[in-house]
Amino acid sequence: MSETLLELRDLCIRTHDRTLVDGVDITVQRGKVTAVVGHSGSGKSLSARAAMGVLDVDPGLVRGSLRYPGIKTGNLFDGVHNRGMRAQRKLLRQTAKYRGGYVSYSPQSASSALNPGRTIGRQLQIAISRRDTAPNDVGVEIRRVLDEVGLPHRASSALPRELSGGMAQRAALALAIAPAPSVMIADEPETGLDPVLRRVVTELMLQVAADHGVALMLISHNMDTVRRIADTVVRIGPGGARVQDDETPDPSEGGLSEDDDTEPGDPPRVHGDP
Amino acid sequence: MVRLLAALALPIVVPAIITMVLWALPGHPAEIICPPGICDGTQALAERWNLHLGPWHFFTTWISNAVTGDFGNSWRVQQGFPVADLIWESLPATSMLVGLALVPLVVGAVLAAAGWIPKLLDPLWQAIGLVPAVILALFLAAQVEITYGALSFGGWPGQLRLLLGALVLGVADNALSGALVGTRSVFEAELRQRYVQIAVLRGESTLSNALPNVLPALIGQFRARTLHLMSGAVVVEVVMGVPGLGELLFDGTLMQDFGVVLAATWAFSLMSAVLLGSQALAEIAVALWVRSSPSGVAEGAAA
Amino acid sequence: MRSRGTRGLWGVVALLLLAGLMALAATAPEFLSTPDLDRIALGPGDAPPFGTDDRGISLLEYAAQGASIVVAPALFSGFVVMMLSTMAGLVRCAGLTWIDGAIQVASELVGSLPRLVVILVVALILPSDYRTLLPIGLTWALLAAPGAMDEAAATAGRLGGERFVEALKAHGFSGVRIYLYHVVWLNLRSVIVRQGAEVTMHVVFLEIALSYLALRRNEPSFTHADSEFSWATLLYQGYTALLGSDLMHALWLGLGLVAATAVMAQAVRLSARAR
Repeated sequence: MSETLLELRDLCIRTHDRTLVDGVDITVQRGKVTAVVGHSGSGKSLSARAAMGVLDVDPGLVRGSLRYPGIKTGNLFDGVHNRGMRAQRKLLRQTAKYRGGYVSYSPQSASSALNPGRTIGRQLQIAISRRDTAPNDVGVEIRRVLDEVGLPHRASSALPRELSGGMAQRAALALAIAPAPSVMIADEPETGLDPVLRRVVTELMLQVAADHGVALMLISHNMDTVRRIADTVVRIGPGGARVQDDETPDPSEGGLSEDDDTEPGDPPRVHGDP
Repeated sequence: MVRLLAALALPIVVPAIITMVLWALPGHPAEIICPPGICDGTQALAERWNLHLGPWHFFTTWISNAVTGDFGNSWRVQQGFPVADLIWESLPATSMLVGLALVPLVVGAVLAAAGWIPKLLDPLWQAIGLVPAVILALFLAAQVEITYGALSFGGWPGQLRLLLGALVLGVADNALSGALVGTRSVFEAELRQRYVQIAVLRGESTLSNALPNVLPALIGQFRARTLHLMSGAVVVEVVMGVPGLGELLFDGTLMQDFGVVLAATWAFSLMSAVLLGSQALAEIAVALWVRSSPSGVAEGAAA
Repeated sequence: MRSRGTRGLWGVVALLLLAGLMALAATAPEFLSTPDLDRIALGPGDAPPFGTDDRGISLLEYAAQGASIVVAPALFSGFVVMMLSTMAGLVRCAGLTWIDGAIQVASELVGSLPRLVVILVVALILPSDYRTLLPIGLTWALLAAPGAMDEAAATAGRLGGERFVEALKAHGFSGVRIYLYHVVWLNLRSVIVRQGAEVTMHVVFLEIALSYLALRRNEPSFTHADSEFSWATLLYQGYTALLGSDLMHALWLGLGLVAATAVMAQAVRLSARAR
């Protein structure tokens, strides 16, 4: 049994007039890929941000627990339930040391996610500085990270606007692995990329995660990718998530497909449903 | 770089434009500045400033004298007194006035950017900012004169006039409200950018990410505000009785002392050039910093 | 609907104040009345509507003359800025990038000097028998224009510039309708009107400041003939009241006129606010 590195249990987040997520359970294990799938607006990214201690909804967290067993934290959501924005800001401050260190984040549409006023090299330098142990030579380390994601060394002195979409996505991946995290959350990394590049980025992400023993939480609505690489799938439908399924989904069985014809209001299908 | 060149050119461009305008207007330049029948000494003015020798001669002579600090003598404001001395004596008061007026602007801007000044108070600052400087200054000047009477220009009353003048400058004519609202809106717009939200998810601070990107805009805003303060200093100095460059310029204009006006205008253009140059240098510094990357990473010359 | 009602209300306030100021200007006497020593420093109660000064002259005459000095030049200056701003917005939508560049260069040059310094140099150069507010107001408007034009161009740019125009043309609208209605009326109106109102207000305040400074020096003002009296005279009389004279009502009248100008400018701005 792989080591559990991130455990999000029974997450329930509400605004004043509606429930955003209810009953979401996500467990991420070392060396495994956990896919979080669902329709647009189902709460995938919200759950991912909650898994990093980032809540920005009022009144916000109603139920749930968050633990990082890899570094033996207690329930990070203690004292936050039903306490509104003030408690959430406190949580944000308390969990800042884990973000970009124990847990890293690789965003979608990387071009707008990178700081336009810093070179890629400077941004990597900052990411590397969040490691527990500082490397002997930051320059060497940056070169190594760039090599891993397939970027030329001269990309270090480039500004984000000077990179193509694919290169920006690789740069975002580099920023996610640079701090040597235990868990990496990749939020729809294929968005905005052509089919060839999507495959390249996904394979790269998988390779890098495997090489570093990083637990990967992949948020996606591309079932082809999910079927291909996920060890575990968590579905978030309207009103909450189904129980986590440990089996990799078999394309011959039922379930969400690439041409899913369910509407957001329909109940989600699970494996085996007609 | 363009801004830096503009800063270097400004002290030359300003007297050049004045020269061109003087010669472009119908009539002799000396008679424009000192109309016969209203003003005595038109001929003496023309000889004193070489206005009868044509624009190029006038301009080049004036610039080369100005560079050596020779602006001739005042013939109206303080007859016979070297204009350079008048300028030197006036500069400290104006510099102090504008410098002190910047204090509430900078403090207010920092507090507003940090979110410590609630937006609810914005209508109050904006209402106060609608008050013209001349109105606020006349009230405070009257108060000083009531309190200190005939002795109200030297010693502590003189310093009080300077302090109150700085307060007027910093608050009236939308100076403070502009600084508060302007700085806050620049920061808020930047903090809403996606890269800042993502930086939070990487455990980085929003300020360290946003600040370098808003610095050029903030520097530009503050240069504009400082220029605005220098403009207002003319009014405040006369009303509050602060013996600064603005008061000298106004008196020179009223009394048609061309030498004083040209020299004071040139002094203002030098101060403006320093501001413009500082902004240019700051922008260059920010651009170099933005472009910096860790050493020992980039490949050498292409193989 | 509610916001349209509020905008309408502000529009009415602006029009009323403007009408009041123009009526005041229209009734301005060419010369002040002869002094009446029996009516020195009377308050509004004794000499309605605004009382008299230290020579027994009605303060209404000062108010009217002051209005006649400022109203036309200030409105014209505001109009000039509005026209230049409109032009800049239309130029951005027409895709004439070289003009955009020229505006930005002009903005840098013009914005490099303190405005009042430029105004005083203009005042020095103006023929002394041509003392009116118009050239000074126009100079102020030209100094304010590049910044205003930049803002209008940026607003037009946010619409989409050329692409916005092309998209509307594809829907069958004529060029004239697109530029005048869709660009200027629907989108640039609030920006342009605010800029015009601000410049109008600033020119009025500039006149008051210059005339007040001249009064402090006992010298004639740059902005009007010796036979005319600016609103600054009321403020100066009010200043003497602060030092002990009986002319406090002159100060209140002066402040009231300044406040009316400010309120009028704000009302114009609020009535033209974007939806």
